Amino acid sequence: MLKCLKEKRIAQLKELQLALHLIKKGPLTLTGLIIMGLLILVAIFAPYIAPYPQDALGAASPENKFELPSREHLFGTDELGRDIFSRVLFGTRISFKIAIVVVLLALLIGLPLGVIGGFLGGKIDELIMRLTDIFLSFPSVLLALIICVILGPSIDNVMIAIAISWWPWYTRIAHAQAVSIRERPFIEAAKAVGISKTKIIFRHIMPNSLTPVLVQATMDLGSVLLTSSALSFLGLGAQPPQPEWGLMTYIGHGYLFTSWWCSTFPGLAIFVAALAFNLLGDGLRDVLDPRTRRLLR
Amino acid sequence: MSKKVFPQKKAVTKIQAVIIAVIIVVAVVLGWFLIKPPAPAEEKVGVFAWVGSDVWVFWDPGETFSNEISILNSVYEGLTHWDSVSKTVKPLLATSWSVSEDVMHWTFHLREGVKFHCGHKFNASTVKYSIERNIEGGKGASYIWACVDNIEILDEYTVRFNLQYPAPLDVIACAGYCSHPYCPICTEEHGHDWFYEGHDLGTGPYYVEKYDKAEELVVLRKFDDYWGGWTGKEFDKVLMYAIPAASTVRMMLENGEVFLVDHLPFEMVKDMEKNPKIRIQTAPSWQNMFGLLNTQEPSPLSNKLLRKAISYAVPYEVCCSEIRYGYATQSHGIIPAGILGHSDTLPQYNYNLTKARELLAQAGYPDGEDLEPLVLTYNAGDEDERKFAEIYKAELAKIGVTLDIKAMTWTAQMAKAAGPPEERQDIFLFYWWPDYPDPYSWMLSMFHSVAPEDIVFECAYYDNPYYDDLIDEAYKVTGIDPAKAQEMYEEAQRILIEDAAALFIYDWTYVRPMRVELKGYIDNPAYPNAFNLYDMYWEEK
Repeated sequence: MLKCLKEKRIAQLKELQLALHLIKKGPLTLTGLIIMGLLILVAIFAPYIAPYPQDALGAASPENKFELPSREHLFGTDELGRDIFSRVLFGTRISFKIAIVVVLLALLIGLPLGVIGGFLGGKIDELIMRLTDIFLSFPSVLLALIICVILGPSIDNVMIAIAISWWPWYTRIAHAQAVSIRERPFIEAAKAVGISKTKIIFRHIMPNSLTPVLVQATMDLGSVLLTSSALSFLGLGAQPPQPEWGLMTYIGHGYLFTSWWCSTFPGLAIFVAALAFNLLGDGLRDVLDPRTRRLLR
Repeated sequence: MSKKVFPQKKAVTKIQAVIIAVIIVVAVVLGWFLIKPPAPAEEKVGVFAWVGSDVWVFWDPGETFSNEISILNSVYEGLTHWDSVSKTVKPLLATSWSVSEDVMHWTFHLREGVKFHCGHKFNASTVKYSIERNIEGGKGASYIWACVDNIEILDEYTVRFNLQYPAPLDVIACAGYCSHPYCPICTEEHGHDWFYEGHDLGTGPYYVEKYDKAEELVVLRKFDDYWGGWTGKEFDKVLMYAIPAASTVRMMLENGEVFLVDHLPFEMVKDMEKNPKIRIQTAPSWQNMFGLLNTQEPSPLSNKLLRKAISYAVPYEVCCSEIRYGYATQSHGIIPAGILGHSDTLPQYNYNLTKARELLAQAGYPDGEDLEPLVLTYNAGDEDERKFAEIYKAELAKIGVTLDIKAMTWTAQMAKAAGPPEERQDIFLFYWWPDYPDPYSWMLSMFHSVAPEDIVFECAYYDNPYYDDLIDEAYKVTGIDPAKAQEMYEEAQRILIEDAAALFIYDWTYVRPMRVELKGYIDNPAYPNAFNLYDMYWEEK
């Protein structure tokens, strides 16, 4: 028993080593990881780092409007005299919250549906997959847009809307995994022993289908961020004076000709965060992909 | 016998060919000069732009109610005209008029020798036809004729309006919308849809030559038989573009491709002030922005002291100077300057947070305790309203009041406002300008009491029978005794201010960027954003 545990620990350490090795090998993954780490720190410590935290929380001093980027205001000030740097820092919180909540919600709906359908097959599978197809037949941004219009503009509604348009992708992936796993001998064995279907689904099929779904989810964080920013840009997401990047870019674009900094910096923030999520997702795929691992072994 | 050989004769010698060629060239050149038609006098083309899209909405003169008057006011003419300089009613298609003592019968003497653009004659029967058609259609601003009982033709150029109740018909006839006579014969022949293809039947100095809906371009051409005549300085042809991107219009203006723009963002205007080729012309307007406060339960603002408290939290001066870059003045009551009922002596709320805190405590919410967040709705996309909302939110936060800002589409905003009382907003940001030069539309449309199912703009849900009677009476006496009407409208506004039925924020100043060479443009607040094309001309330095 002890030997078995020791072996398991060694195997885990080897896995970790391999993962670190893979991360080191790809400088892009490392870059993604570093940016992500920085952004998470910014999100946590925004109130302490931001030079003018009150500007991100609704204060306005219109007499200082449209000041050029300077030492006092690194990214300049907006049309109501607020420090754009502070607002961009606080915006990290909103953007991360949206990206993570949406992906989690979509996973929560999509993963079980795909796994259940894939394992059980038959009519239930048909029903789930046709429903998925119906949702997939709408372009996700359009679907989110329609839901947002119906629910009314707010960040919470944006999260619900994007999650509703996002889950079918995970169902598809989880379904494909589950179909291949259900034929494996260990599932057959579990069935033979008489373990209940629910237990097989949640203890055996789901954990084994998770990897590709997780990779996809990480990659999707960036896309969700872009979609939510797009909805805010269209006035359907965050409401003023929330320091949401999409909304800030939208409001600033009206002043682009006279004050370029108002929408440039929030726009750059969206770009950097989306890039970091994507690099990380790519890296994660490499780490978890058995083919790359085999090559390295 | 020798055969005689004749030298072969050339048809034309070289020299002859050259001579012939020269003759032909000379003939052609001479002919060109002799037959050439005289060069046509260069056409004077005026190019104007409107920042936006879907500008020309209503084309039937019986349905006008929107920005189409920017051009249609040079195509159609009313019986009378509001002169913004003298602030009086002036003759236009009517040369004179008289009114009975009880202000129930108005007789208009019409101008002779006026032709519609289709060539038909303008006379009393055309006036009767047009206005009756507008009333029957009931569309656009045709409600302005609601007071008319019937129209009598006294002779070919005299028409009498018999009213249901006394009303200032000379002022009503000034309206920019639904007030213009048009040709009955052609209207009957072509029908309603024909107007929407870009046709007109007016008497004005210009007629519509082309309307390109896809390009949002309207081409107008001068009407040679215009009764007012032509001096030769005016534009022969006018191009009016609607362009959504302000930055594009700005570039066109600076390059001289456009002569005048209805408006540009203030940041751009400030930027262009340095350009010697651009003139920024300003003029007072009759358009104002205010916030209607929900005076009914269950809104917390049904508490008058609370309404007063939040009225003291508006930084009025900052709003004028920072939102509109100084192109606005704090409102005195609800009626802007230059129109009956306005008075500079009316009290104003000022920005005073100490006073606001005191009133808040008196209202039962010391430091905003126990006060639920107030909901403010504004029209999504309106930058001025958004800026106001955000500035106001910051100010209210200082006295402990939370403001929830909701950007909504106009339709959604209106639906919420007319919905069940518990779902309504607390503050509704709003603009208003009159359909004809009379204050009644402000006083009536927003503050007169109505049944809940009839709520349209009455989003203060104000209910005060004394106020209702006062403004209804003032409307009736306007035609007979304007001084009395002024007094009554002032009193009605004092009531509104005392009851804090709205945040009286600011009155706009129009800001028009134009080329310095363009002369003759005058803003007439009675015809908001209408270009007086007939008075304009181009003068090179």
